[in-house]
Amino acid sequence: MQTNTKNLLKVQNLSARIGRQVILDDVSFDVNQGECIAIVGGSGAGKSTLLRCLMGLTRPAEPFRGRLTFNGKIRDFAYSSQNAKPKGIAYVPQNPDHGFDPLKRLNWQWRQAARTFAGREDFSAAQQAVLDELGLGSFDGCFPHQWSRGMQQRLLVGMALLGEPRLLILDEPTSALDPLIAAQVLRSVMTYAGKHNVALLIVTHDLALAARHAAQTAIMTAGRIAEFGETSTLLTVPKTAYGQLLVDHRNWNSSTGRKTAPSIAAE
Amino acid sequence: MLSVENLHIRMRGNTILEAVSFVLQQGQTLCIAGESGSGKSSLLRAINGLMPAQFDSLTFRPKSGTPVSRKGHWQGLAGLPGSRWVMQDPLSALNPKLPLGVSIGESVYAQKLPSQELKTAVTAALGDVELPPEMARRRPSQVSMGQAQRACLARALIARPDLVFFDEPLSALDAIVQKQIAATMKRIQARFNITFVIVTHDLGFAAAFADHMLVLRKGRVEANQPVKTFFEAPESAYCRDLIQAAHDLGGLPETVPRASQAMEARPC
Repeated sequence: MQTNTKNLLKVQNLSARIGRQVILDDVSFDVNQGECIAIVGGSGAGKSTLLRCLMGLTRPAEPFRGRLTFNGKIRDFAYSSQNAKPKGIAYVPQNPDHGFDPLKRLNWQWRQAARTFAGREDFSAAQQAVLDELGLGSFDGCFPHQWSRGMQQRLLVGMALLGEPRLLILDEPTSALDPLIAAQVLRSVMTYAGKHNVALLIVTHDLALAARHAAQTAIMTAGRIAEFGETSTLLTVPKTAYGQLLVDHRNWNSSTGRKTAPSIAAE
Repeated sequence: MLSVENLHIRMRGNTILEAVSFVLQQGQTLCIAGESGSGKSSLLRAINGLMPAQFDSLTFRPKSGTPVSRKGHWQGLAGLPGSRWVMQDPLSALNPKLPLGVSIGESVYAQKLPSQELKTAVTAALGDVELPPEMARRRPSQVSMGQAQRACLARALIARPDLVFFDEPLSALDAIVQKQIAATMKRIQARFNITFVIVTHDLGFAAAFADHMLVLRKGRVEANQPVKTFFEAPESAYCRDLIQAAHDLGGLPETVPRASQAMEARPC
C-alpha cells in the first residue's frame, strides 16, 4: 500500500455497528505527522464511536469493515476481532470525572499511568518535564476533587502524554470546562504538541473552535464523513447542506441575524 | 424595571456574593457570566427569594400588576410575580411522566382556564417557540433535547411573563441547536418585549445577545457595564483574560477587538 512518509494515520472505509444498526459507514480520512485535525458533528453523528474504533475498542460498537494504518502498522477490521490497542495513540476523555478514580490519590494514579506506559515507577526527569510543561506542580497527596477541573483535565493530558504518543485524541476538550480554563488547557496542549510534533485529533460539536485551531476539518453527520478538507476552504465554500448549516451557525450573530435560517431539522 | 442594590449572600460565615447592584430596563437583556462557583446561580436564586440574602433594596416593576419592593434580609417562596425561570437541563426540568402539553399548561394553573382555552393557549405557546402542536402529546423522553428546551421556553411564555430568568439555557445543547434556539429567544423577546436575565458561560453568546454584562468571580463583581463598552474596554484584568479566552476558543467574532496580541493562540 502506498503511504507517504508524512502520513501518520490512515483510516479507510471504516464501518462499525451495534447489533444490526450501522453506526459508522465508510469513514475514511488521513492524519499527517504533527497535524491538527478536527472532527465536527452534532450529537449522534458517530464522533465518539469513531474515536473508540481508533482506540481499538469493540464495544459497544464493533467495527466490521475497513482498515487502519497507523505509523506503518496495518490493522484490518474485517479479520481481527480481538481488540488490539494501537501503541502511540492517547485519548483524553471529555470529562475529568471519567478519567480519574475519585478514591485514589493523584500521585498513585499518576504512578500507575507511568508504570503502564514506561514500565517504571520512579519520577524520572522526563515525567516531571511533562508536568512542568503543562503548568502543574507537585501532587502533595491530593485527591482528584481537591484540584480544579482545569488542573484535572491537564493532568489527564499529562497522563496521555506519558506514553509519548504520536497522536493525541481530545474528546470535546472544552465542553466540561469554563472558557478561561479551557483556553488555558488548549494552549498548553498546543504548545506541547507543536514542540514534540504530536498530531492532534480534536472532536467537537463547535465549528468555531475547530476553525480556530485545526488545519483540516472533517464534518460528520449520521455516521458518515460529509466533508473533509482544509478548514479555510470548508468555511468559505462548504459542499454539503449540513456543512452549510454548520458554517451558518458558527457565530451567534450570523444565526440570529438570519431570518430564513434552515428549519429546526438539525434537532 | 428590575433594580437590585448591594446584594450580599452570606452563609455560615462565608461570603458567597458581595455588593451586587444592577438596574435593568424593560425589554433588555442582562447576561451574567463567570466561572463555575462564582455565584451566578446564587444570584438568581437570591433575587427569587430561594436563598437568604441581604440587600439595600430590590425593586421590580412589571408592566401590569403591583410593583414589588423588598429590603433587608429576605427569604421566601414567593418569587417575583410575572416572572418565569428556564433551567439548564430541560430533561430534568420537565416531569417525565407528563406530556409536554400538560407541563406547559401547569404554568398557568393558577388562572384556572377552561380546558378548551388552555388547549389553545398551549398550542399558541408551542407555535411561539416554533414547535408543531402535536408536540403537546409527547413525553419528554420522546423528544430531542432541543425540542425539550423549546418546550421549557413555551412553559415560561404561556404565562406572558415580563421577566424570564435563564440558567445556562443552551449549554446542554449542541452547537447548531444552540444557535437556532438563541434566534428563537431573540425573536420572542422582540415580539413580547420581555426582559431576560441570562446566566451564561459563553461570551460569544453574550456579545450577540446582551445589553448589559455582569461578570462575577468568587462572589465579587468584576465587571458591570453595557455590553459594548465591556468588549471594548473591560473593567478589570480578569475580564480581559476572559475575552481573550473566548477568542482562543473561537467563540467571538473577529469584529470584537482582542485584548492583547501576546497571548494569541498559535496556529498548528
